[in-house]
Amino acid sequence: MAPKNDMDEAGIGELVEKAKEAGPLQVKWLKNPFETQMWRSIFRHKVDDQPRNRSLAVLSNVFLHLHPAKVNRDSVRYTFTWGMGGITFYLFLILTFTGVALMYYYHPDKANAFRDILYIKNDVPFGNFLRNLHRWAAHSMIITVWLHQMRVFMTGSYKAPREFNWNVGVILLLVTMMLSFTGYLLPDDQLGFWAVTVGTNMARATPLIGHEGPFGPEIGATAFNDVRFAMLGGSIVDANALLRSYIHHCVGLPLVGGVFMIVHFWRIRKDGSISGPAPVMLASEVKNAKGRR
Amino acid sequence: MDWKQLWEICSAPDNVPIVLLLFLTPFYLWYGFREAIKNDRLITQLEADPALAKTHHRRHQPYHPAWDKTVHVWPYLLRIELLAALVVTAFLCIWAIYLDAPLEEPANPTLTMNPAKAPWYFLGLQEMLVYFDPWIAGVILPNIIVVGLMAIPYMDTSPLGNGYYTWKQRKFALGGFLFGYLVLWLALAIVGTFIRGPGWMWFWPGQTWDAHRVVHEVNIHLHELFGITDVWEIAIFGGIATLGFTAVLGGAVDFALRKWKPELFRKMNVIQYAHLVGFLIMMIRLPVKMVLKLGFDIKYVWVTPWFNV
Amino acid sequence: MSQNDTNDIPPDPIYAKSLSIPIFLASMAVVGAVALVIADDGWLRRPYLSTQEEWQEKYVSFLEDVRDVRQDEVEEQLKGLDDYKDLNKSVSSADGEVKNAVAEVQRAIFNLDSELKSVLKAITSPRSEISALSYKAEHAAATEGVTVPAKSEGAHHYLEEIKEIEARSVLYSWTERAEGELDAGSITKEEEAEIGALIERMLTLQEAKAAKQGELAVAAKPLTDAIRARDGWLARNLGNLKMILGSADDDALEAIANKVAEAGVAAYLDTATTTLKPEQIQGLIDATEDWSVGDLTATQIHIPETANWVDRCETCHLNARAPLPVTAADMGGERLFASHPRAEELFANHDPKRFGCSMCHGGNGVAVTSEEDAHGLNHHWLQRLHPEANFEAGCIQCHGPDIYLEGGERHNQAKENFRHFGCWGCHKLEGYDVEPEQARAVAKRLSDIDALIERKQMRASNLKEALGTLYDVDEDRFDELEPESAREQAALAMEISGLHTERGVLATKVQGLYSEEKTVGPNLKDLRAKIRPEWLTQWIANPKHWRPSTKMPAFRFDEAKNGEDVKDLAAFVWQSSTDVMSDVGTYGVSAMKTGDATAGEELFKTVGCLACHSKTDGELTVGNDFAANLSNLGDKYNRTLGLSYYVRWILNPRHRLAPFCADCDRDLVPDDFVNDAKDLVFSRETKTCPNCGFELKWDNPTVMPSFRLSTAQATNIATYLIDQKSGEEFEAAPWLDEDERFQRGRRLAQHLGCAGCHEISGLESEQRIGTELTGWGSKPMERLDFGHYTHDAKTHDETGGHDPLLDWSSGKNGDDRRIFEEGAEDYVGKWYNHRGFAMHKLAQPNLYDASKNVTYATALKMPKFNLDGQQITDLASLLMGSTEAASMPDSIKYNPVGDELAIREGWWIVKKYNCQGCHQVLADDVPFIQTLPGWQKEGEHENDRPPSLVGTGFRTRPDFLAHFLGDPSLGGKDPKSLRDHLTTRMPTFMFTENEIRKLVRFFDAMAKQPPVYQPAQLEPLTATERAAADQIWTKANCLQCHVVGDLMPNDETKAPNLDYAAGRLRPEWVRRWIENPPGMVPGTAMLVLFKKECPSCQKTFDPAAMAKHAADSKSGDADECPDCGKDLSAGRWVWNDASVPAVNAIKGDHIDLIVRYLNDGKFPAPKPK
Repeated sequence: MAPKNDMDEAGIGELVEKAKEAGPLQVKWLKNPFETQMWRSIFRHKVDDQPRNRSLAVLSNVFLHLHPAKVNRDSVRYTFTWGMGGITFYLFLILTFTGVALMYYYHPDKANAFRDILYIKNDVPFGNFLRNLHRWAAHSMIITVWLHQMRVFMTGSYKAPREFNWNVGVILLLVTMMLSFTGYLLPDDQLGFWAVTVGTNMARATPLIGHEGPFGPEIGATAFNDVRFAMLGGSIVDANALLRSYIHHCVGLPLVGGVFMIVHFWRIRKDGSISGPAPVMLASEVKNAKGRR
Repeated sequence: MDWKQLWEICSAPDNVPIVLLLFLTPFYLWYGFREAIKNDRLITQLEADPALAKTHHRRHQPYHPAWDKTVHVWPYLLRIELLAALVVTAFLCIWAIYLDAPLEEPANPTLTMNPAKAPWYFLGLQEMLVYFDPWIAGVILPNIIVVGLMAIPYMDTSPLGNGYYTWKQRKFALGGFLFGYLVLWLALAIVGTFIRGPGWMWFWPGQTWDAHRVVHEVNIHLHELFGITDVWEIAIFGGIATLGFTAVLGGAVDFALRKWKPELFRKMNVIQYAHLVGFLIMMIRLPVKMVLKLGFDIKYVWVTPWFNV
Repeated sequence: MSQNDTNDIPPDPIYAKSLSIPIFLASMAVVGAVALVIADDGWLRRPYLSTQEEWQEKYVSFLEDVRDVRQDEVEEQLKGLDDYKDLNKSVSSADGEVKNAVAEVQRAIFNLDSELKSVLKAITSPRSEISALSYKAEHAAATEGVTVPAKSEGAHHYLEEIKEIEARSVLYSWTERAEGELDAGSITKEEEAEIGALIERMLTLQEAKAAKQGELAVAAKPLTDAIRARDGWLARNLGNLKMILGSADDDALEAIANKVAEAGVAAYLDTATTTLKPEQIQGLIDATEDWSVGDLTATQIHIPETANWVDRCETCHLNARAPLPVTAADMGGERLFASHPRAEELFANHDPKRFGCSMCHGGNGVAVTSEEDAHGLNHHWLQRLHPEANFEAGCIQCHGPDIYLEGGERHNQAKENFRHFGCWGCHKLEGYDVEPEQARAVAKRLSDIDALIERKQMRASNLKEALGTLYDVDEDRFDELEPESAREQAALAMEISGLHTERGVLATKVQGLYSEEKTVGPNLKDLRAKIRPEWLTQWIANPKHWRPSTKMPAFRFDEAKNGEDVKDLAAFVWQSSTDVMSDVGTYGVSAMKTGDATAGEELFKTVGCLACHSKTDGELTVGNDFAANLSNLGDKYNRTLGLSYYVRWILNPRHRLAPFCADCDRDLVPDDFVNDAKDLVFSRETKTCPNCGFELKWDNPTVMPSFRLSTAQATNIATYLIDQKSGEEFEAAPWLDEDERFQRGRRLAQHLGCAGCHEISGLESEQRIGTELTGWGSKPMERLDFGHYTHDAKTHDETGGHDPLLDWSSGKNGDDRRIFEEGAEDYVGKWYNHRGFAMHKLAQPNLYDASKNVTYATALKMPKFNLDGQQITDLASLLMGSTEAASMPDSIKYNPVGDELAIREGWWIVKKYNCQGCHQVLADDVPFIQTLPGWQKEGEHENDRPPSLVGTGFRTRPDFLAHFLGDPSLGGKDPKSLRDHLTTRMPTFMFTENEIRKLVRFFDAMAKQPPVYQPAQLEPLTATERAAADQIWTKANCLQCHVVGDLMPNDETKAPNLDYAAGRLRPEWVRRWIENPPGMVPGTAMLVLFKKECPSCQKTFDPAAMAKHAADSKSGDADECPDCGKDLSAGRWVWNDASVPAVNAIKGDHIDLIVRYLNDGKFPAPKPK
């Protein structure tokens, strides 16, 4: 009978020989995976402990090449940087992941907001953990941002050439606090509502453009056209305010924060990486120093 | 002493961060100043022995010429970052399991919470509302803080202390920053959390927060001390008082800078110097106002039909 | 450290130090944390997992007990009964008869079946081949467009193949049973046949088998019937405990006895007589055993109507809707697993699938993380779980406007307390005392109408006048304008007449509302006619001293004024009352002689005053607390006018001394009526106010009816009442007439809110001084001011926060009322909640002023009512339950229409006028009067008992009922009322039309009658029928108990006057009544006069005999003729005295005859008794 496909043709015998040939190669692969084509397609460098490989490990990795290949020996000490900048960034990542997870369940309108939080707390598997994690990471991020600022100031790392980066840091501080502030309102409970109301009441007192600020009423600012109304999308913290803070919290501020973070990380590298622990300078040597490039 | 209520305030889920700060900030201050003292000791040693200064590697960390100046990021830096990440993750998970995020009654615009507090990190600002008119405390001061922070590098241009902890070489900058951060920001936030109870009244720790408490507090304005009654006269008097005080304060700051910080005065150009004096004035004005309010019950210095200071 | 000695270079600390340990520890910490997270979310936050396991084990063991108890004990006893034995005998004999016939048919079926099986096996695969080929053939034919496959070429090839297959022959074999064999077949057979033939063979075999099975059923029928009868009897009697106990032998009885002792009779009856069959219980056991622990969706109730809310209470309360009652004792004392009490009754109209649990009980249905979260007891959840004592607060949410709910015992008590203690005098609550507001609204509309009419009339006259002048001045201009203004004048006239008609309607409406108004306390405008000045002040100071049982609470007065303010108040009230002495004649009150006290006492006890009032002689208090206690009136009555005032009051309580005009806002005085234009009479006839023409209020705000007594009788009663004195001396009260006290007294009266409960002249339009309670239940906690107890309330029993009520209960501060029952201290707990606030406030109204430095004017005003623990708990439930229920969608709220609405409105009137004092309104309640000694069995008023109102809607015609309610004496001439023989007669309540309409609708709805009644048409009697009916009428001697015409009732008369039967009674009711009077009203004196005739055997049986037969007949069928067993229902009713030929001549139903006879109403002339 006419054979249907080549399987029959080779027959079992040939199959065995083919397997025998490939055998040793596969064993070799098992022993040393780094030689396989798949490994090499992913990792462009070898892994044995050579200085070159150590540098390549960092430089060839899209995430790790945030760091230079080598750094000032003492900057790895905890005592200098306290790791605050890194931890803040790590918290920002946690917040992003848990935030996206919560966004699956949260509707930013008055009818559903509170109910969705109840749903997350009681129905969603690990929902309560996610929400707690999101909140405590947010509060921790503010703490670490403040401590990071304190460390940068105490080490004088804002001085030339890092002035610009310091300012980007201040903007990031503002973005972090605004992120937390807009997040506070989202559960639509009394705590959030009144906290945000107190916060935004200050806005109505802005001079000229606040309806209760100096010279505001004089130039026609009313409760319905002043800066507070612009922020809240209404005269009180209501559905519009909830929607606006939701969009700020989930899209606007993270994007702005992300961009400034990129600039911040970039400038750290470009302004000479971690500033210290730098060699101490004596008062006498100040006159001639041009300030570190 | 109402320990139960104190515990209730401290363990309230949203006050946990401020309590954490109460422990973290002193710790890290001590951690930083420990380094500063080491550097200062090194600096005094180098200043005393110029020869050594030439050869010394200028760092207090352990050093040997043969050791590598720079180390590989992988593994030496990344392992610390991994450790930090793990510790933070573990800490947050435990915190998230045992402490639930607060969820109070659904928002009810008709029912005001007493006390209605801003989030814990804005409590400093809310505390300032007691002493200033909202437009200053809510708008002007926050902007000044931000602009001030941004302007610091452009005012403190001395290269000393760039990249290392030192107290000796940067007493003025570090003192000013810590005063602003610790006293005017953190201390006020802590007051706002623990001391300010219902009706934003002052409750000493241990006093039960009682919404019914009535405090007899007569706020008077500066012009009343001088018995001025006519509206326009008040406005003018207020203006004079405020601007006069600012001028005096400016003079005093300028005098102090010239006396104690002559090199600063010399090196800074006019714009930098004016900004420095301006920010220092604004920073000093807050405690002065607090003293006026808490000590003498004077609320407003300058009262005009449009705004008050 | 020189550079060059390379070999002893110290190791670089950065490289040397290894972080592996800290990293290891940290990663272990993270692994541990993640594990903890999973554990937390999987188990730690789900306490119900262990609860469900515990439930499984306990519920299964309980079910097994129930099943075993039912299976072994009950069935043994029943099987021991001879009924069961002879049923069993009939089964075995039927089995014997049928055995061999059945075996034969079964054998035939077996053979057919085995052949069929083998045939099928043989042809299965060829048949599928054939069907495949036939499809191909059809398909080919279809593609060629040929309708018959045989004709198409394409199909031909396949058809050939089919034939070829069919021609194939195949061998098949099967086994068969020989004659008399019962099991496997011994004969094996073999056949060979073509496939085609085998297909037909298969069809024939199938038909044969079906036929044989039909035969089998017929053959076995006697056996199956016998078995069904036996098992049917067993199942029916499984629940019949009486029979079980009756039949149980000693040790079984003893076993049951100690089971009853252990679990209590109710529990045993529940378990032993559950309607569930053993198999069902076994099914429950299996279901419980393989219950998937932790499956939330199995136990949650999803309620779409409330925005997809979910209730998960049954995650722990797993037996809430158990099919059989499960008590806590059954589940090892675990109340959590008890089934919902009164499940059928409550779930009938509150289906949990639609209402869920938290809607009525409160709590947080979604949370399952802990009991505290689920019960919503944490600080921030708005709907807390109602404690057990206040469960009925859940009912009150939707049943706010109800005053009575069947089965809602605590709800009724709460509503009754609120009504009885007059809380509605100061606090507005939905449903209570709505008449004044409606009256004010109507009055306002009336004055608007008057103004409108006036303006329109003015306009019309101006128009006419203008036209008149225009006519003189300019005629053609006049012609031009005249038609248009004429049209306008006509329109105005029409509008005015429309307004007048509306005014007329509203006038009667406002009159109705005025007379429907009721106040908590008596009308203080009559004080000067009614009471002695000396008595008044001490009464206001402390009412409970003179009258301990009074509803009037003890008001707090200003200690600083030590009694002066009480005198001011007394003076104001005294001086504000109508100055009767100024014009004694017009007010109809004058000094008069006393009557005969003993006759008065006799009358007081018989007429029925004690159904509402009470009287205390020495220690014994007799009578109802619905109205005031009338003892010791001797201390109180006005020495000169008091007697005549009481007489005037007893004759017609509604008649005010002086009318009140809402527009002039004051009482009219006689000289208002002195008016030269019209000669006005100072009495009811003057309907409108002489000064402003507004409707006058002539009715007193009381519900006391008039007993239609003569003046002499009224005087006797009044004399009897004022005879009794307490012997207490009252000092003179000169201050009552001091003028300067009037204003101070008036301000104090306004301050205390006296006008809320009493009508006081000058304060008629005072609003209620208390806070509105309609939405109190959902007030935010921040709005409840606990005063200085706030901290105590929040921290009670944790850091020693103190609960003053517990001191009260233990009598520490001189008040020995037990607020919380014994041992309640532990569950009282934190009282910073609605329940805590309400209970403390009700127990001690000025509690929250404690340690506050307040002046008398700013202090809390609510007086102390001395309520006991249960009353306070019920009122607290009422307050907790009156919520805005915003979270409740309207579709779920109880908005009754039709009959239910009629019942709701009717109950308000029944409660308002205390009908249940004399009448039985519900089947199971005992009217108060029957608890009085006189009206009990063998009491002298035993046959004076007011008739039961159960089924009035079915008995009485609505128009007669309305007429009767309006005037119970039916025309005023007292003899010839419906029940002249009664001495306790129905008084005249002076209902308004509106109230009468509601009452009639109420009785119709209670008896489930359609709102509009069409009487059935009855043909008139023919001569022979009338003669026969007359014979029955005279022979049965109806007039022994009844009366007709002008026959006077004697002491044998026990029944209503039959002249009214025609207009009063509904024929359908009369028919059912005459058939079986004791069946409808047990213990009635009416005789059973007719018997049911069996259509087949012509024997007659009276209702009792039929009932007895039904009870113990096997079939339990009531329509079964005791003798011949045929169907009785079609039979006719026959008069039980068969000796009268005229009656026997009537072939039709004798009861129909009597019904038409009564409805005809022409009775033979009665012989005097």
